[in-house]
Amino acid sequence: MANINGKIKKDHQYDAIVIGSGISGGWAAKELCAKGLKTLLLERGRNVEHIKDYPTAILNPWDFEYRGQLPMSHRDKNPIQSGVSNAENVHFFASDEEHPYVQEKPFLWYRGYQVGGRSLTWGRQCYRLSDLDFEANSKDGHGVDWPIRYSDLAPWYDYVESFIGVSGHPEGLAHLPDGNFLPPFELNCVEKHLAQSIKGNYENRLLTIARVANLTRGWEGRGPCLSRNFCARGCPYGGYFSSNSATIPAAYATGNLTLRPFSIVSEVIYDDSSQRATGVRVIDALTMEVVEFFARIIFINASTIGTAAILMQSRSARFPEGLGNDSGQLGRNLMDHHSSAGAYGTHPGFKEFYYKGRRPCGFLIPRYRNLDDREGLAFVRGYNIQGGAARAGWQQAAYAAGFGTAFKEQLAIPGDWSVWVGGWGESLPYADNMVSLHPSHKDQWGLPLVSVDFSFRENEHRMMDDIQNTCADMLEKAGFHGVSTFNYRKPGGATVHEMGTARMGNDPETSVLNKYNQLHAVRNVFVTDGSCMTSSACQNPSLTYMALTVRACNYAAEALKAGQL
Amino acid sequence: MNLMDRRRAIRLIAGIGLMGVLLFWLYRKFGFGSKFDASELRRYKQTIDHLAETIIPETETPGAMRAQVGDFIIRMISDCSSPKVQYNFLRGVKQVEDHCQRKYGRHYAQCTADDRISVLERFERNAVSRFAILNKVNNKIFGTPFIVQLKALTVEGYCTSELGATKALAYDPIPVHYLGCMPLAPGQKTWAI
Repeated sequence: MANINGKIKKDHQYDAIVIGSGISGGWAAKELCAKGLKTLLLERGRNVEHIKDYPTAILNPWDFEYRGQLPMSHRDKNPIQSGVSNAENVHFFASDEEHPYVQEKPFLWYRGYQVGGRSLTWGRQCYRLSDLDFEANSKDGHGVDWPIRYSDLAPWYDYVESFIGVSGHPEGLAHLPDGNFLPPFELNCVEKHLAQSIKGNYENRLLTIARVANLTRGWEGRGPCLSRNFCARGCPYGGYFSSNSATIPAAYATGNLTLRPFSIVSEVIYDDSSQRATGVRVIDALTMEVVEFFARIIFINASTIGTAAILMQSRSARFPEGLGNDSGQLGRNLMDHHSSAGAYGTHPGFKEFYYKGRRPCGFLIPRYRNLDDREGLAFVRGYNIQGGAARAGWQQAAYAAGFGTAFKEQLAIPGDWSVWVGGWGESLPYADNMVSLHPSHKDQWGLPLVSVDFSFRENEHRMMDDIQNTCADMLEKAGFHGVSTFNYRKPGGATVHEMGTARMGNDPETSVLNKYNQLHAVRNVFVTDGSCMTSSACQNPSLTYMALTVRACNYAAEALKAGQL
Repeated sequence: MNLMDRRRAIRLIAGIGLMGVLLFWLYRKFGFGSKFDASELRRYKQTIDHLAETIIPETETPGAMRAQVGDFIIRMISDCSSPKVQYNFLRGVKQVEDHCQRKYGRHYAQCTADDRISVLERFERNAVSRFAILNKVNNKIFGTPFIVQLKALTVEGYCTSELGATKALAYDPIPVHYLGCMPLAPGQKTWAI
């Protein structure tokens, strides 16, 4: 253990420490810095500077040795990482070889161990939760009640959207509240046709363009998006929101930010006499040196599984089962959306139409199931549909018969239109879907490996069946041919929406965090990444993490000022 | 152990033995597990170049040979493919050569343009059934047939090459604006990406 003398301790003193620089940690750093707090932002991985560290951003397909694919020698050693990445963006996903974890059941844990975390590679979908979601647990009895409602979060959604820039179209739905949108991307002809058909055939369904953090015009000195759809390589134009392009530069601009990469937090230090956390213990990932940093408040934004692991590693006489874990809920209630089921089909028409550019998003059919309690379906909660339509390209033409000039000509002729739709579905919080620390296996820094035990259950499987049926019905009614349903049966983690391991709640006996994302029992520790989620809803969750983060930062800064923290 | 149980046990053991013989025979015949040698594949570079050029010939736009598709195929098979795919591919190339020697008495590369096409047509006829279910079963057990793999790699290598993407297709690296619904202009080619 490092011997911290008085001088070092003074150098290592900050007003606030933020653990993790991903989509929520970046926001915490920006907000706390803006409130005048000297903030230390710790990141376990390397630094990634906006633009400078996007090595593949402007490469052509032929510039990649394997045209984007990863060699077998790499894939064999990194089966999880190579399932989500390719040569364009593999450097933004953690290597399985260097960062092993234990799967009690198959679980895909995709990690972004670098400054910016997974905000570099996220899907950029931005949907607000509503009271249909915040009230769901209390209505059907799964999990515990959220300690907040939509009205608590609405102004913070506004605040976040006004900075990140979200393109989209307002639809006036109570269960998917509109935001402050930049102009929407356009639907293509077949998507417009499907939208018309859905509008005409169903009372409570509509199809709208995806709401995404891609800038359809210049915004806050960033963008616009140039419709390359190479987002996950990092965007040299700042065309989409990431910590790297937006929140971290804004935090730096205040003069209050210190960023320390290669800093693996091994534990949060707890002081029993003051009943507060005093700081964090860090292992330097490169030198193995152990260093301590101190602050008045600590935000943990290490991603759902990482945050739970840090809290579980932070044991003391007061908290033998992990910091703030009086309830025993820490690490439990792990959720991920399922996105396995859907349908596809082709359309024989619209041959005289095409599109130009690569739109960085698809469309959305907002949730239409269980909008009220009396639908009598075989499952609770709901799903939304995401999808897109396109004309077949050379990729499909490769499977045509024949050889030579005629075969070659087909490669250059736009083929049939097809549409793909899939359901993104809510998963319920189950106490035994959980992460824990492995009792003996350790990583190269001597920290216990995380063990994940997760499965989808009956409610999720019934929902997947319903997704297949309703998707096929919508496509058939719109005149698509050869409509087929699918269920990929992807394991947990595949949607990269893991959440819930330190849930918010009103009752300290059944939840880890209170309504301001403070640990019930340690008020100067805040957790505002996905681990705080009390239920998963079916919306892509990042926007909600960001809104909860700025709300908690605002509360923390005011409480500090008032001398309450 | 009574008589019935003993008979059942004998039958079971015989069954397992037979299965073993069958697996051994399959292993010998198809050689799964034998180590793939990339240098052996590279010796067939000329054959692979001409196979690719036969699939995508030079027309008013460049052909596969000028786009160096053969090199791409060898790279992909050597470095990015499973042992099963590697084995099937090398075996396929050898079968093409064997067939050409038998039928025309020369290497594939030396065959006439018409003969090169008819060789590939023969392979496609033999490999691809018109029954989708048979193809599925076949692919599952024996892997993607050589000819299907060859065509897919040739098309991928060509369409992602600089010449293929920019001359034979419409390459639009920085579209700037997305236009969702525009009339298909005469002569408009498929987008390369």
